[in-house]
Amino acid sequence: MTNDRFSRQSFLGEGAQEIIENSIIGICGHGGGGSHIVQQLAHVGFQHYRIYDGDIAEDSNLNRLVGATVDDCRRETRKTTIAERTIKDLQPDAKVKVFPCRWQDQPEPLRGCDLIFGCVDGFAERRELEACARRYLLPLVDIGMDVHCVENEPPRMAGQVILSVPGEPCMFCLGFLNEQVLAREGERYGDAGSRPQVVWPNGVLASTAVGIAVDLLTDWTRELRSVVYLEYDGNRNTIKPHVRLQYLPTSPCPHYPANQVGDPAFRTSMAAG
Amino acid sequence: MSVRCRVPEQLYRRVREDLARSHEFAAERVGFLSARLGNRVGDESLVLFSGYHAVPDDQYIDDPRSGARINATAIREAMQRVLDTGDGLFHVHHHAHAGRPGFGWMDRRETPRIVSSLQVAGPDQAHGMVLLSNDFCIAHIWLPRAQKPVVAQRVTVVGYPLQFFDAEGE
Amino acid sequence: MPEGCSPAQVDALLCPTAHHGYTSRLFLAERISSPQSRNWSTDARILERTWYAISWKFEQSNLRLAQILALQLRAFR
Repeated sequence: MTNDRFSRQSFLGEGAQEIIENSIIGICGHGGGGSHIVQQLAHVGFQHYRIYDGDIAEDSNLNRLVGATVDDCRRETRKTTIAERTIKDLQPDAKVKVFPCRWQDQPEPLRGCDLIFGCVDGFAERRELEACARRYLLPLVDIGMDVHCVENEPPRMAGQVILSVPGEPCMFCLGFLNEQVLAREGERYGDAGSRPQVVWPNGVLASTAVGIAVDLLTDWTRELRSVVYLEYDGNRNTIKPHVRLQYLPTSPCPHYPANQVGDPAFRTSMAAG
Repeated sequence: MSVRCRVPEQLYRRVREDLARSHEFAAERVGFLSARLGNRVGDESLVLFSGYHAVPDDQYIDDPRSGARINATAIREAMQRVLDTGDGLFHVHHHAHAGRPGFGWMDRRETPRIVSSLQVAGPDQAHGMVLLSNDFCIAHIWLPRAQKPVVAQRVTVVGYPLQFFDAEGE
Repeated sequence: MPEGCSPAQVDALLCPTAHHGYTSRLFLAERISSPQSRNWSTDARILERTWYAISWKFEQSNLRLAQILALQLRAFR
């Protein structure tokens, strides 16, 4: 690539562009959030992608699926195809591996990444992705948004950006995941339903997530030194650290012990008689 | 087939702090990193470090020809740890200079013998050796039942920020 | 698995404690067919494998593990 293309981001530091170009990025979900992330990563200059999504483009996606066209919906284009096209239009030499399925169906390439973005629906999906990230020592940047309809009041738009780094507080430690929300979701048989979704909060969250990822990789701010949990208020247009960060335990994360890494294996043991 | 290593930052720091301690007669210290293999299926294997075990002071041999030599007790305890936990173990030490380190002739002669013993105790895991300099890290990995090691394509310290140590030519 | 199930043998994980709204859960490595058709409501990723569970609840206070397992398997008769 020419030096001109990235001259405006030289403030990221010497060697930063090389780190960016050599990092393998996994993106789970190429929907409203993931499509923003993919586009921005391509602009920044990332060259190695592994993208998972089992869906095709539909009319109802067009209000927010970055890169999707009317023609894509007519042709029932896979979302991963749209992702690859978005990237290649900016980075023709990028190595893009697409998986038109859930990441759980082909997890090995995801584990080989350097950093992953979680743009999935639902708490159970997030739990599973974080469990994999912890087991294979992968940093995970998770984004999500929701709109809650409240009787006789304007809807409430909210979202989150979470950076989960192995050894550091996890989504359970942060209180974002807990048995209650997982149970409630389980009782609905995990059906996220047709949740309200629009483009601009996805843009806010995705941009923030990309910024966090670039900082984690390049350390250009020299300030990112602890867990990130940002809450987005779409009604007030604010994004700020979640209040729960003030109450984090100082002990290591108990949910993902340090020795629970690698491919699982069962070991039988005989108790002493 | 590529092999990459990952180590959590807190563990990495703990290793460095321990290896920096002085010893009565050994010029260098030695420890063992516990590791589990990941992504066994496919061509991108992962070695994931999970714990550190310092070699006690009284398990070194006073050998002026060597920076650090550990005795049979240290090796037996390492083998027992492999048997008890099912983990792989990686011999780790530090060379006090900046830049990419290189295994010396003594390392290349002696450490593979330790690895062979570990392979006997735990043939289903990866074992090997890790070498730190002041600002770099390399790893040689014996995959299960392998006679020869492969060089880690990348060693990643997972923390804030991520630190990548790539093999030469990567 | 109980008679009439196919396959007759399958890997299983018993979670004897509360899990996502159930007091216990029996996860199977595949969705099996059984004499009574069941609602396979959950796909879960546990220990890097995908497991499947039906929607099946019962009172299990003071039950031993073997009893919990037996009651879980009763759903497949």
